[in-house]
Order: sequence, then structure tokens, then C-alpha cells
Amino acid sequence: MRPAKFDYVRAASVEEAVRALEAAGPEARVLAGGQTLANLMRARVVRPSTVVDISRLSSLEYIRAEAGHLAVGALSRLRDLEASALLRDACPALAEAAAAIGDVQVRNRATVGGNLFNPEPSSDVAPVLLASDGTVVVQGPGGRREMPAEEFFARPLGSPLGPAEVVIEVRFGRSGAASAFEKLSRRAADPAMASAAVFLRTEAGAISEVGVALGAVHERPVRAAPVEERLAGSPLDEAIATAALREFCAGLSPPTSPHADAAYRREVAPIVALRALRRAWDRAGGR
Amino acid sequence: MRIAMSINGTDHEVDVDARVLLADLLRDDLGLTGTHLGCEDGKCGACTVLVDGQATKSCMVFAVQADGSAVETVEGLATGTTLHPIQAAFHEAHALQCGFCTPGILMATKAMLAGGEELTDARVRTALAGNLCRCTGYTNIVKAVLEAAEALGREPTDAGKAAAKATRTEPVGATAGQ
Amino acid sequence: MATTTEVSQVQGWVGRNVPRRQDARLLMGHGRYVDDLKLPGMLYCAVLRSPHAHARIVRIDTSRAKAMPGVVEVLTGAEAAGFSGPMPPTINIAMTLNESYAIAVDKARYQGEPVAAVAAVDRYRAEDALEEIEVEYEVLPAVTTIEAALAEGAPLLYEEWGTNVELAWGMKTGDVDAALAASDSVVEATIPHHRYTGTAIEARGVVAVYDAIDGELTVHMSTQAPHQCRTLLAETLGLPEHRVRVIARDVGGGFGNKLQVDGEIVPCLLAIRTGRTVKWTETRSENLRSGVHSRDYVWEMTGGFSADGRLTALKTQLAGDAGCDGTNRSSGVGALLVAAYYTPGAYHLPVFSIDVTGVVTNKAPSGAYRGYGKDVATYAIERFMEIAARKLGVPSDELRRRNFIQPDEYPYTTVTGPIHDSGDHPRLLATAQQMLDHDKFRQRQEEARQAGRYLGIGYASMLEPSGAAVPNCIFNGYEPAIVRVSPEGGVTLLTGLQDIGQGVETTLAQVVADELTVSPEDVKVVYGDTETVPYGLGPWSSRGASYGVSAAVLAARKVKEKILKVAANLMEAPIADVELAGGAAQVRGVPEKRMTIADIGRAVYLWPGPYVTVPEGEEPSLEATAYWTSPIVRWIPDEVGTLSVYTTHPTACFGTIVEVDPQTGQVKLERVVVAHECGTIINPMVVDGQISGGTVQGIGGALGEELRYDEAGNLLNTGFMTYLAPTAADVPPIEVAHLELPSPFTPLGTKGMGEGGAIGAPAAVVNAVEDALAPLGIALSELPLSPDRLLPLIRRAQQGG
Repeated sequence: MRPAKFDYVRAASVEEAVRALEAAGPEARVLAGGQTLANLMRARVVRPSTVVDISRLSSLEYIRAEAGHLAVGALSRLRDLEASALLRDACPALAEAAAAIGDVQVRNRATVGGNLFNPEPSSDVAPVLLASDGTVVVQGPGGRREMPAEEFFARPLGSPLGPAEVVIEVRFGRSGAASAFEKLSRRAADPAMASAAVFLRTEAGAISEVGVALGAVHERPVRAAPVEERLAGSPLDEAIATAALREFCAGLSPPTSPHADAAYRREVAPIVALRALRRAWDRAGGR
Repeated sequence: MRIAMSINGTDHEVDVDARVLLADLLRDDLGLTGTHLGCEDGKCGACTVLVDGQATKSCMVFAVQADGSAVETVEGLATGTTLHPIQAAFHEAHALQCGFCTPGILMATKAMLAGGEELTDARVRTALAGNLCRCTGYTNIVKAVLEAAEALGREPTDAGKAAAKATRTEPVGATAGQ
Repeated sequence: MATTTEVSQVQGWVGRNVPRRQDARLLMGHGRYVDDLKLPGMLYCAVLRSPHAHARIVRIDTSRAKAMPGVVEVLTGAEAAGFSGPMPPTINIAMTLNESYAIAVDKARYQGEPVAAVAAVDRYRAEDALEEIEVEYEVLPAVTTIEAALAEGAPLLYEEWGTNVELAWGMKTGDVDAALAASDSVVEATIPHHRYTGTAIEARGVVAVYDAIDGELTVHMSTQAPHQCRTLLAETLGLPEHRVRVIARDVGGGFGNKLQVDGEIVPCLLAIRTGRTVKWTETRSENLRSGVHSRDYVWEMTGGFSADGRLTALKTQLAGDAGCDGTNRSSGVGALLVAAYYTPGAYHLPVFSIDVTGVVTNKAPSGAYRGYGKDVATYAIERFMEIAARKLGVPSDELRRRNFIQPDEYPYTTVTGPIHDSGDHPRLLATAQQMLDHDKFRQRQEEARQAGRYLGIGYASMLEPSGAAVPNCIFNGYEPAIVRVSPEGGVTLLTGLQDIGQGVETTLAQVVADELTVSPEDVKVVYGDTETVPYGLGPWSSRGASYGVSAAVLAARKVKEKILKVAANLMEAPIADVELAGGAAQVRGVPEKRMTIADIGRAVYLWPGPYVTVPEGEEPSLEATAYWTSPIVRWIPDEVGTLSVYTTHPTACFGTIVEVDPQTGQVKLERVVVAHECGTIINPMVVDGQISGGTVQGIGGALGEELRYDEAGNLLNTGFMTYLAPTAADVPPIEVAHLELPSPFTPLGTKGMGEGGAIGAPAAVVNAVEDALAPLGIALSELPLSPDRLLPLIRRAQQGG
């Protein structure tokens, strides 16, 4: 299928992109890697009046360790995240998530910012961002603002953004924490049936800080806050973790897709989270 | 919109509507019908070309996005009627049957072999997860890629080096994945 | 310049891995697929399709669409019916036919059925125009399962039928009830199999060129059966068949899906209406929604066993879902009849009965996909034997061995009529077990179980009847070939077969080269143009190496005969003393009396010409036509209904080792092996490729591929994102071992092959997964074996359910 007609604007700067979005109104869409948007447009499920192409804003491609967080430019390509030695060291969950998204061709173009908007049934970067207690930096007509990841993922997808606001940076928190990402999918390169990200720190053999988040198993990517509370303060006990995860996941409303039904997603979510917990714990030097 | 790109080393300037897919530009407007279309949700990879050295699904890119880029299609592989070593390896290994998915796989392979990592059966299969084939069952395709890797002595190509160059804080380098 | 290559006398081309001639153009991106064709003034067709599974078309308004710039024509079904007819049947045996039009006229019977079509100057504007067509539907209740279709008061697809039953047929070879009653054990099983299909990466496509002045239609098409498509098109469009030409050059896969015309008729209608060339390139979602579907059936099987585990009787019911049509739009319902005749599979079976019901439902039309009923039979009997083995407490390989047709029994006539030409099932099973190191695996399996891991091993013995000759059907049973030697000695073969990737362009050249003692390089294989090649039946039913090859061999032999006659005449030697070797006719024992084929060609045609070269009474040509028909086809049934329709029967044993993750229900394949037998092998490399490809399709069918409809008749799998065809990363290398047991029924002993992987692999995978989960006592039934089906079974078993 071919897309419906649209006006095309190539932005040479973020400011220009914001102005173009403002001028075009609410039916405009931002084009970054295009691996989600092009699909939706070809199916005519999405019919933007204007497409604002920000994919050449190379100033938004970076991975920087900053004070207390990892700053990743929104246009950083997933292939660069996958290959980044810095990430593999400082934030393996993000490198693992990037490597698990789609196939080589997709990762060559898809961006970390764009992935946050993946509806399919949800972004793989999202649980990593949530578990890291991260934030999303946007720029719009009113300037820059930063919002907590939880706020960003409120539904409908994209609704927390104001008119003409563009995601420019994604900040992953819990710097220095051990992390891991797990994903189950039907085939290689498929979207998740269930995914989980864990960040944790240990102190004197106990978990001093932990973030656990799940993807593709609820209406939105979700942080398992009650589970985090149960785990903090003790060494990792798999039985306790499993029980806490099961209790939490019982309250989820997973989507159903031809890849996996809701009941399955709810059932495996604790398993996937436990696998991520185990690996993060190992990485933190636990056991 | 007027755009310019080089395709297999030749410069082109075309007028194109924003909504025209790169694949359609190549096939319908430029007569390069070697790149094929097998689906519309970006899964089959038959449309894979190289854009600035990167394996890219040309059906998921608007032609206007390739403005200023160097595009490589399957037609640029052979020299006259002499097959590129990758093509020769596919021929010898019987790695194609109907041939419809083949150009996409050849281009994905070219990009794969431009990287520096060591290739194994498993790694090749993962790297080709974006290219569907219904005829071969992949057995001979993997063989062909590994044989081509050997034949090429695994030297990164010019395109591969260009792809490695980036304006990023942290050098990407030739290694990808674990 | 001589074109006949000197070939050493001991070399033959049959059995050699001759590299494929078509590879060069395909690798270089110069393949000639239908969408590559761009003709002057060509328009592009887009099709508006019913969003409803079942609906009356109340009103269509195309006026706004027609007024759009760049739109040349918009056709509704009612308008098209004014100058074309309904789709003729593709099969007509004991089944109820329907009257349907390529563009629906009064009713849409499946989601995706065409209701209007646009011709515009480019693809983009054609799709834009679809959005401006207004259709008012009266939505009707839909039936989407066999049960619903058969229920009392069910909504009817074809009201005039009074039922949704398209086929009701049965066969009984003896008193099966008495045999069951006399058996020591009786095993019952319900064996369902879901709906999926071939999804060649090139979907369907047509470029239709209508010359209104000459009244001739040329249709470039991605098809496996140019002649049958020509016949069907001519009838539908009301054109004289000899004024319709179908051309298929490179075809991007078929697998049985591209054997008829349905969607392909639409661009032809637009071409005739506009007098312009019209291209239709099917999208993937159109292909999944409206292309032929396959499988979708359920068996009830009751088998009797003697005390020593021998099958005594099999009483069965088979119900198949033919979608909205298994006769006219495509021929899927015939597969149920094929399945009936082949239910006994690889085994001795004294008494058999079957009741077959084919129903129509509000789903896409049902057609052929690698198997056409042979898959239905193999899956059923191979699952049944596994289930029976468990019930009888006998290892399943042992149960198979006790029942196999034995190697010294061939040719073997089964109780239903088919004659198996050659085979050795026990040896193939032994080979597969050896390849998988079966005994060592059992040890490893036990150790793994102690560690909480679930490994399994499974086999399926496959029978692949190939080369169908179905009466009253486009899958008929003959094949022509014309072999022609040119004045300078080059050879052309004109064949009714079509290369769809399976390599006939090369393999046919090999057999002709062998007969004429030249090189395959000297043989050009011409196919895919109804104007040029004789009326043949295309490659389906794996008939290439049976019908196609045999016809080519016979034609080549006739030409060889003629060459020798001319040579004997010119060299003044008795014909018995002249032999063909190394591309030359040689008088035995007289080395200087030698003429190359090129010498003979020149002499006959022009230099000097026939009057002094060709013996009296012979025609002045080095060309011959031959037809091959099967020596064993029997269309007249006996009193119990036995028939013989397939001529050659490749056999195989598929084996696989799997691991099931008990926490996630995911299945990983560790190894897949195929011990395969297909008579004399022409090109082993080509055979391996077919086996590998078909096996991965079979694996996909067992584990992920699915065409699922919800209750309202919405198809849920509409792209490769949701239709889970395996990627390279999802399957291991397919390992193949060969056994050659020539068929007594074909000139070279060849057997048509190619469908086997899709026929045999599914049961092997399901059997392996069931073996892996045996400690949990899980019996598998519903397919595919997706994680969300397996995990609940595992959980329930772990909880002691």
C-alpha cells in the first residue's frame, strides 16, 4: 500500500522542527527513523497532513555519561546503541534492548526517541527507561521541559506531549547500577510478547536500590513499584521475587495480538522479570 | 521536490512527490527493477538496498529522505557480466531458487560482510532475520554467506568504512553486537 | 561456430549438480517478474475489497472516484458482469459448484472479496481513488467454523444450495465396523489442523494488454499454469481462447498457490474496458486476505490394532473448511478427496472407510499449497500412529516398523487404489534415527529431564504422491514436450512446465542433454508462453520430474532416432551400427565415419537440404513432439471406489530434536533431518534445495504460521508481521540424506518431488514436542504450537490437572 498525500518539511534544527509543527497543526507528525511511522502511513492507518523530517539532526545523536544519568540523544540510532562499548559497560540493559528490537535494517534507521512511540504492542526501550527511573526531555514552543518516564507513557501514547513538542533527549537514571533486559518474542526480530528491565544496586550483599519495569504486558509500559519495595533491603530471593511479581502481574491488563494472547502475557511476565532480575543481580556481584 | 542522490556510483537528480517510496523511485522511475517488494509492513526485506553503506528497507523510506545519499542496489554488484564474489558464492551454493528475495539478501550480505565481526552460522542467521525466503529454507543461503566471507577475506569495504564514520560522541567502530 | 560441446562418453548429466542457468540474471537483479514490466500507457489497478465477511452489496457509487485526476476507469461487479461471465470451475467431481464473479456483484462472501476496481495512471492515485468509492453494505451473519457452517439454520453462503456443504463423499473398502469389533485394541483420535498457506515472497501480479483492434488479450502473469489460466480467462472473459495469450517469465515462487485466476481477472476486465494496458500488483495484505488458503480440517479417526500392533482397520471422518470456495475461484476442496485416498500412508491397511465433508465458510477461497491433500493424509496418519503407540504402550518407531509396507512389496497397491511405485520406509526411518543418534539422544533426554529440561525427538514417515492426473480438473494428467535441433546443432526444448524457482530450466536441459549426448549449455529450455509452447499443465503436484521430464525424454529420444536415421543414410551404414555419443553420430568400429549433430543439422536444413540427406518417407526436420501419460492412472473406480491418480510416490522420514521451555512454552528446534527418496535424482543440489525450503515451510506451519479469523470473519493475520513465516534465525540447517529407488513407471525412473517438506515436517515437529512433554502427559491437538497454546497445557499438567 502507498501512503496518502502529505506536505513534507525537512527541519534543519529542532527550533525549525517545532515551528513547522506549530504551523502545520495537530495533524502533523514527526519523522525520525520512520520504521514505525512509514509502516502506519503505508497502511493509511495514520494520515498526517504534514510530515516534519528531523532525521538529519545529527546534533541529537549522542550517548553521554552525565551527572547521575546517561543522556542519549533522541535521534541516536538503535544500531549505535547496540554497538556502543560505553553502553555495554554503563547500561547493558539499554544495549540489550536496542539489540533486540527488529532486525539489522530496522536498527540502522530506528531511533531511541522514535522507539518510545512504538505502539506495537509497546516499546522495548520503555521498560529500560522506566526501570532506570529515567526522564524524557522535550522541546516545544514554550522551550524545554523534562518529564518523568511514567508521565511520558501515560495513555493515549503521545498525549503527555503538548502541541508541537518534540522529544530531544532520553535520560536513563540509576547511573552505575547493574542492569539487564529480557524479551520474549515469537520469531527473531518480532515485537515482544513480554519484556522486562531491571536496574539494581547492592550494598553489603543486599539490594539497596532496584527498578523493575515491564513491557508488552499491560496497556502501557509499567513499573512494578510494589515489587521494587518487596525486594529492596534484602539479597535477591527468587521465591519472594516470584511471588511479588505474580501478585503484581495478576492486576495487569495485557493486550492480545496474533503473537500472544493476554493470558499468556500475564503468565510469563513474572518469568521474564525474574530472568532480568537474576542477571542484574549477577552483574551487581550478588551471589 | 527536487532531490539528488548517487545510485551505484552514478549521480541522479529527480523530481519526486514526498510520498513516493525509495523502492518505487528505484523501480518505477529509474528502471532499477532488481529491488523487489514482497510486503508492506517492512518485514520481508526483499526491498533491502544500502543507503550510505547501511542495509535499509527501501519500502520503509521515502525517496526524499535519501536526498544526498549514496544508494547501492543489486544492479551495482556485478561488473559487467562478472558476478561479485557474493553473487558467485550464492550461485555455487544454490542459495537461490525463485530469486525474488535474493537481491535483498545479497545487499544485506554485502553490509554484513563490511563489518568486522567474526561470522558463524548463528550470527549470519541473526543478521538475516530481516530477510524472509520461502523457497530455500535458508540452509544454502547461510552456506553461501560464509563462503563469500571467506572469499572476500573479510576486508571492510569503502562503504563499510564510510558507515563507521559518525558524528557521535562515542566512536562506533566496526564491531557490532556481542 | 559449433554449438555442440564435446562430452566424454562416460559422462551423463542425470545425477549431477549442474549449476542453474537462470542464476545469473536473478542474481544481477535482471529477473523478469511481472511487476518489473513497464509498458507504454500502462495503468495501475487498485481493488476495493469488502471489509465484511458476509454482506449484501446494496449500493455502490463510483462517481467521485471516477472524477479524480489520473483515474481512467472504475468498475463495479455489476458493470463487469455486463461484459464477462462467472468464474468457471477449476475442478468438478462430486462437488457443488458456485456462480461467482471476480468482482462481486450482489454479495461479498469473505473479507477481502473485490467489490470494485480502479485503473489510474499511477499506483498512488489508484489507491487514493479507492477511498472515494462509496459502498453501502447490508452486513449478514458470518460462518467461520465448520461447526457453524453445518449447524441447523446456519447462514448460507450460496442461498440456492440450501446448505453450506460443497462436498459430501465417502468410500468404504470393506466391513470396517466388523474389523474394528474383531480387533484387540481400538484407538480413537481427533486430529485438527489449522489454516495457512504458501506466501511466496512475490505475491500475485498481472499486466493485461488488450488490443481492441485485433481482439486479442495478452496477459503477463505470475503463475505456475499459463495454459490453464488462459483457458479459464478465455471462458470468463468470453474471448476465444486462441486469441488469449498468457506469458509467465520469472515467477517468484508459487507452491501451488498460483494455479488459477481469480484476482487476476480484475486487471483483464479493466484492460478490456479501457483498451489500455493495466497492471495489478497484489499487496501482501491482499495476498493473505484473498489469495488461496490451505489446510483447515479436522479428522476423526478410529483404528483397530491386533495384539501384535498391526493395523486392522481404519474408520475415519474428514471435514474440511473450503473457505468461500473450493471449486471455482480455486480448487481446494479436491484436496479432501486426495487425502481420502492416501490416508493409509506408509502402512499396510486391510480395511478402510472415510466420510468426507467439505463446507464453505466466509473465509478466503481454498486452493492448493504444497500437499493438496497429501499433507492432510500424512499429518493425520503420522499423528494417529504416535497417539496409538502411546495408548498401546509401544514405542512409536516400533509401531511404525510393524506396519510399514516392506521394500520387497513394491509396486504396492493400497486398499484405496493408489499404486506406490518404490520405497523403503524402514530404511528411511533407520537413516533418520541414525542421523539423530537416536539412542544417545534418549540418554541425553533422560539426563535433561533430571535437570528440569524438556527435550524431545519425533519422526514422521512421509508419502508424497506426485504427478496427479485428476479428471475434470485443471490438475490433469499429461504433458507435452517439443525438442527441436537448429541448423547449427543447438537444441531447444519447449515445455508446458514453468520454472517457479524449482529449477526446471536447468533440470530439463540436463535430461535432454543426456539423451542427445550434448551439454546442458547446448539446450535452451523455453517455457511460459502459451503462444510458443504446447498445451501443458505446469508444475504443481511436484510433476516436474515425472510428467515434465518424461515428456522431454520421449521427445528427445524421437529426435535422436531421427538424427541416427539421417546419419546412417549419409554415412551409408546400417542404423544398428550408428550410435550417438559426445554430440556426434558415430559408426561403430569406423572412427572416420563420424558426423556431429551440427553437421547433421546443417545438412538437413540448408546445406545441401533434405532431398539427399533425409531418408525416403521421413520428414525433413530434426524436431519431435511427444506426450507423456501415466501407465498406471485409472479413472474408472471399481465397486468400492478405488482409483489410481498419482503415478510416482517419493517417500521420506523426517526427524527432529526439539527443546520446550516449560516456563514460556517456546519451542526451539535443535536439529532437523530428512532421509529422502525420490527415485532417480536428476540434480541432487536442486532436490536438497526443495527439501530444505519445504521443510522450513512445514516447520512454520507447525509452530507459527496461521490464518486465523475471529467470529465476525475478520482475518487477524494480514502481513508478515502477524503471519509468522520463519526467518533464518528461527530454524536450524536442514540436513538431508538421499536414497535412490528408481520408479518403474517413468522412463528415467524419476519421481516428481518438491512438496515433501511441507507434507512431512509438521507431524515430525508435533511428535517431537509431544515427546518432550511426555513426562507431563500432555497430548497435543490444536495447532500451531504457539507458546500461548503450549504454556496453559504445561501449567495445567504441572498443577496436576
